[in-house]
Amino acid sequence: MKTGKLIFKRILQIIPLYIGITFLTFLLVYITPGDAAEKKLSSQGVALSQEILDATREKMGLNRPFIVQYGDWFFSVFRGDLGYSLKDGRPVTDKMIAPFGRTVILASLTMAVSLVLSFAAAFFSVLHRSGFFDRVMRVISFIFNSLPGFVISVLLMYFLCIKVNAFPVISNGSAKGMVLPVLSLALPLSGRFFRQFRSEMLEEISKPYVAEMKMRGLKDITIMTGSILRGAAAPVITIVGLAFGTLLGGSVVIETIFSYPGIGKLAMDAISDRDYAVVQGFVLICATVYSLVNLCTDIAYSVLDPRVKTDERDY
Amino acid sequence: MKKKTGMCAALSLTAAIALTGCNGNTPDAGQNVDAGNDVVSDNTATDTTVADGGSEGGILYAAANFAYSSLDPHKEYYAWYDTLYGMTESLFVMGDDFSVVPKLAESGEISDDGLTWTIVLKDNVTFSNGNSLNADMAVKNLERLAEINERFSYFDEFEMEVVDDKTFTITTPDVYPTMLNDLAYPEFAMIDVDNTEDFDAAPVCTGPFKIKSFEPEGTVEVEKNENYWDGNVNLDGAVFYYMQDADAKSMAMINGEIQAETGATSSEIELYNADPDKYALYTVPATRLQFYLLNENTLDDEVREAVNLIVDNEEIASFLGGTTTPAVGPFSADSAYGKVTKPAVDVSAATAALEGAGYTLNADGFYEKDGKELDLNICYYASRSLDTCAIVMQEELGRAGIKSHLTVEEDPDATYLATGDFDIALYCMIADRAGDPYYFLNSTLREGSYYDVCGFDSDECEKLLDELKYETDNSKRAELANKIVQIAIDDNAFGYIGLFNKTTVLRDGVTGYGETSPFDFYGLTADTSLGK
Repeated sequence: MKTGKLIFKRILQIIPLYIGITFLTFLLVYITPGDAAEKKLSSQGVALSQEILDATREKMGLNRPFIVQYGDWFFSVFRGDLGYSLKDGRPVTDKMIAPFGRTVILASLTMAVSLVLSFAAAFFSVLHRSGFFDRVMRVISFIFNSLPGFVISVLLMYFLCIKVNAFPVISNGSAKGMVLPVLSLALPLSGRFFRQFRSEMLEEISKPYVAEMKMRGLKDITIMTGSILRGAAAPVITIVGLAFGTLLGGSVVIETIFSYPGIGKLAMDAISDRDYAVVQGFVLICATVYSLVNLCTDIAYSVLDPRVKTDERDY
Repeated sequence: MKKKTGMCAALSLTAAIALTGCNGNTPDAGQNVDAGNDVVSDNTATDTTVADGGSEGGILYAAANFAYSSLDPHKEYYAWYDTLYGMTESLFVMGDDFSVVPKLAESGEISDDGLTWTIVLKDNVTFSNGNSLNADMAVKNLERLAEINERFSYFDEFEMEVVDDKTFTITTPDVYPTMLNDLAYPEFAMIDVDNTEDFDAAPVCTGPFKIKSFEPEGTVEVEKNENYWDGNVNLDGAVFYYMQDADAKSMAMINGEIQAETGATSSEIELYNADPDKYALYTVPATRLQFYLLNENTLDDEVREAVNLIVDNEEIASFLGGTTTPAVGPFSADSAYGKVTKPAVDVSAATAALEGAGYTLNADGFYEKDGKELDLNICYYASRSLDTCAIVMQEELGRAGIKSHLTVEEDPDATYLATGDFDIALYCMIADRAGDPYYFLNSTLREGSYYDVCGFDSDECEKLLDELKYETDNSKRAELANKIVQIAIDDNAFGYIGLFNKTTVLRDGVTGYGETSPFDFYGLTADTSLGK
């Protein structure tokens, strides 16, 4: 019941959020120099002419006042229509479905790999804290955390594609082709997660109840799996949730390097092309995903830590 | 920049470890028959088949720098890639020597009054569905193009009439000498408009290949057109991967995942040159021009003259590592309308010009006049290597005592070109769109044109442009174009820096991938061979 109330409250909150972010995004695209007509006509470096530019702007409706353009877009969204791409005239929904699906797959696989790697490494590091494994993992996590994804991707390509010839450079959606994009995103993320998980587990392990359990003769592994993991999981969920949202919109560099046609690449191209219809569609998707992830995070938080009351928290 | 630097470092490492040797491999460009003056014809096109009529088969894997959301050749610039994919053909094509060569057309002839063009189609041209191309279908295509593509809406003003099954005429309100050049644009590709069900995903065209699978803005797969009208098609098909990242492209090439790419960067060129047995590198000065506008509204004549005497195109080209050819004028020096001259780099003459105009060196070693330091605002955008051009220019000007600062914008058309707020404005565009100089000169030098933003004003130039607009004799057109460009050079209104090279890299003996053409849109053909 409480969860139901929370979901209803969130849906109400999301409406002003949508209006606010789409208005701001539309405004930003509008005031940025250049427009979709100019970008479209000059995309291959052919000289522009004012006459053709004016005619194209008229045809695209770009000569209308800002508020009319935004209003048109906004009310068509209310009718369930995200509009048409200014670049190629395709329906925005059609244009976004496939890339969004691909990015969700990429982000989900990345998240799964990152969680498995970082949780396992953090668990054994804490179990053998200050030991050799712990020290090595801290250095490795520091390196992964410091290296940008594109550097990791080029290094992975060099060693795994060129030297070992185990994977293709071109992702092209195949299972084998997914390995390098996923690793390029997962390794830096694992570095960040490892440090977070390790620190949460160490904090939990220093609590008095752990000392009591030890005094009662429980083994370290039992305490770790039985109590510490559960205690440390709750704070970690927020970070994981936010990281998933970031992956959906922030994997553009990796998508470009591996020729993986995801939503991030589509959004970047749309921004360059001043294709506000696609940019707005992307923003709506991101807002929805972030809201859903936050909602799931809060629900999971309350499940993992019953002391937290979902209807009393100030979200 | 940081991203690029990182990638370059990683690739340099790759190159150093993986490859040795440094010999280039640049075969001679092919030749094409000159189209002549106002009448062109070709009776040999159907003879360009493999002697034994056999097909070697195989699939070519290539990288494409762009990928569009539609294959409809009449929309936007989609035809540029349809032509590259070997799917579409126009009535005429551009030869390697910038001449217009008949393709689907047999000939194009202008009437004595210069107002009517008569186009005769070849007898044996068929679409991939086996239907034959006739004059009625050709006219329908031109009408459709004019209707759906703003850039060609001027064809609405022309009257088109079918004379017989293979002949049609185009009548223009004024003399229109560049009709055949227009008909050679990829956008003038012929589609079977009556029998195409999905123009965006599967247009029925006349090229040696037809679409097999199409992913909007992604991978495109083509297969052999069994009904190809112009003889044997060597390959079974080709796959084009949309690849934007240069490092990924070079690794895919090294890995053998792709066998062909165009637009190689300087680091890729270095990499491939190191292994000439595996990679063939073809470099052709192409049509994309880097140039700058000198603002006559803010700069004295002597300052503009000094800038042009100081900027060293050879030095800039060397910094760009073989991706450009230093320019004298806006067009390739190989073309008839590329015969212009400009003064050699001469820093002493430049400083003498400045000093003659009252500029003196101040304590900081920079020129000033009336107590005000000369500080040029160089505007550029970070694309087409203009960032490198701007930095090298700033360095060269600084060495000669001219202070300058750089202003980078994301969109030049909406910023410094729109406001005129610059001293030197860098820009890049296609100067030679289809073998004729009028389009570029009219766009940049004509009073009131889109790029008329630097205060260049010449009655003589306007008069010559009017003559060029209506002149039908190609040699006279070249003469007029050379005179016009020379006026712009002598006036120091512009500086033409370099023409981008079209650099094609082919692996393991692949040939016939448009490697000798200076135009970006030619690639896969019936003659493309895997060389195995």
